Amino acid sequence: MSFVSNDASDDRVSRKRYLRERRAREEAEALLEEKSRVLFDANQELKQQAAELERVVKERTEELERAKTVAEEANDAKTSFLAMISHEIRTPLNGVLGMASALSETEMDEGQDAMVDLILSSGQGLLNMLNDLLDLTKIEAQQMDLESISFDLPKLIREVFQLFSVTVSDKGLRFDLDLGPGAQGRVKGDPTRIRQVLSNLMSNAVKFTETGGVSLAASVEDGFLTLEVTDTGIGVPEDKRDKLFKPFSQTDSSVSRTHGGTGLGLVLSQRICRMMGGDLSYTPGDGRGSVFTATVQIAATEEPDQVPQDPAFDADAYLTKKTWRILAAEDNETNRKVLELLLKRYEFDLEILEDGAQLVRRFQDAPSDLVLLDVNMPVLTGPEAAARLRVFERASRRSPVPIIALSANAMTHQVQQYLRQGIDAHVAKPVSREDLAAEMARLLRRVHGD
Amino acid sequence: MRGLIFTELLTMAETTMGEDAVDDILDELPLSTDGAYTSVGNYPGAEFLAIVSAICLKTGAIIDDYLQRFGSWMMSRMSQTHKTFFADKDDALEALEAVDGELQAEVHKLYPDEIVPNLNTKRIDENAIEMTYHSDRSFSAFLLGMVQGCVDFFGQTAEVTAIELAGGSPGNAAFQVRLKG
Repeated sequence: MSFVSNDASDDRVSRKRYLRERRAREEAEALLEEKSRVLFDANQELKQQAAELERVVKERTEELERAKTVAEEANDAKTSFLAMISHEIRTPLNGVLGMASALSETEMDEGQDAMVDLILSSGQGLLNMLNDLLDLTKIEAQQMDLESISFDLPKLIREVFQLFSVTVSDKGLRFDLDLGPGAQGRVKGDPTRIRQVLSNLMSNAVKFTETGGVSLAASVEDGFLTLEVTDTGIGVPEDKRDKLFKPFSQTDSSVSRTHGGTGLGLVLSQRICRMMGGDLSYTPGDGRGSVFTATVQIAATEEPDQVPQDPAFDADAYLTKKTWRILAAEDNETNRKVLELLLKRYEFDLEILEDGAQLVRRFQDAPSDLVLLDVNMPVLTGPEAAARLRVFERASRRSPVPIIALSANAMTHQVQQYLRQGIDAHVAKPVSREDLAAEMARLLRRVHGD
Repeated sequence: MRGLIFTELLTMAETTMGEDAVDDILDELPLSTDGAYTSVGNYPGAEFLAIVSAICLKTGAIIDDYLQRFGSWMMSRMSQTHKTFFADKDDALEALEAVDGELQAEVHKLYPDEIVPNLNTKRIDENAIEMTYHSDRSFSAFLLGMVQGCVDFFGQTAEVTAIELAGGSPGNAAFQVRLKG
């Protein structure tokens, strides 16, 4: 039998064909080897590239992290610089305002009166701006504390409304107040900050409206207080609206020339609203003017009013009723002078010491009806002095003397700390005579009655 | 040239001439691997033309006719081996428009540096495309066969007309495929 067959129908394959097929198979195998090696190398290269890419991404991410930290540090430095500068300016400003205020109470001719008024209003403007700046830096540094106390909402709104009524009627504008059914009675929130936002919006509306009117609508719904201030003023041009809530960016530089202000008010108000779980937004008025809508979260409450107010009480009269003995400690000479002049009209038996330790010694020899303490003093700080006074009182079975702290560091959490350390009340610097007198009279009355 | 072309050509030849006749042709020609082709290999294009010529000489077929038949054969094989390619195409024109990409991928997956002549298509209207084949080898007959195979696969009929290319060279060909009915 022949191995090689030429018969195509035969199942057997010719030797020639077999060898060719085998060669083809070997060739295919060699190719497979070669190609799989190429594939392996390519894969290795890819893996290396991926690792390299990962390394570069990691490196870039670290670089970005570092850059971010540097930027944040720079921003923090800016914020604390602003806070420091604002704080430092307030001390001499306290001198300027205090002296001007004292001067305004002396005999002067009409021209001098006008000059002192201008010093006072300019100083007050500067002080307001510094306060805004400090508030903003506090918010940026996340040190702004909010209160949650019970207060009379319609009363607060009416008071702010009342504040602008004179200006509004001078300008011949219509002035409407709409207290919605929900905005009645007491609520729980931060009355100081709500007042600040509302005053700001009202001040803007009145400032920028020459004809027509300003209206304020307040409503409470689902735990949110909405304050809507509508005016028929110049409005905000469409291309300037995105600048409204940015710091120091009044929509037009001519605005600050003609209307004054720093452009901090709206940005501050918006941040405050957001901190209170709401927001502040702008919509153009119907036809002309603007509508600013502020919302803040508040809680309903049955608690009595925690903002002590007795408008009928005449603080000045109470303070001049008798010769109260007042001891004060203040290390700064200017501030001592200011305090002395502020209180001059009451004919107190006033003694101002230079630090807390001197005051404590003096009090032990000759106690007073009330104590005024600066907070930051050498030798013994205000709170330390207060604590020693309380120890002395307990040891000598004396009833506690009212103590008022005077400080430029008026952050809520600090004030609460003072109150825990035996201090009864706090008056912020630069001290206004009205505020100080009101607190002094309130505390004296608490001890001595009417 | 991809070895698949060689193995398919030989398979087609075997179906008509028988294995022995094909073996004889391979023995007689001076081929790089003595005619041992594998579908995954890569071989000189001249050998392909030499084999086709030898087959035609032996069978008396005209070379262009034979190449056209082979184009049809290749398309029919592709319809079996690349079912997914055809599955999402609605008609022959759509398949022809996509076939260039598929051919390029088939060649480059094993031989990334191999130059594959482009098969460009241009849509004339809803029922017609123009195909231009740039090559240094005369493959228009093969391409015509592929077009026919594709049209057959979709059960359609088409009229294919050659287009004179301005300043045309032998390596360039263009024709229009218009579906009928």
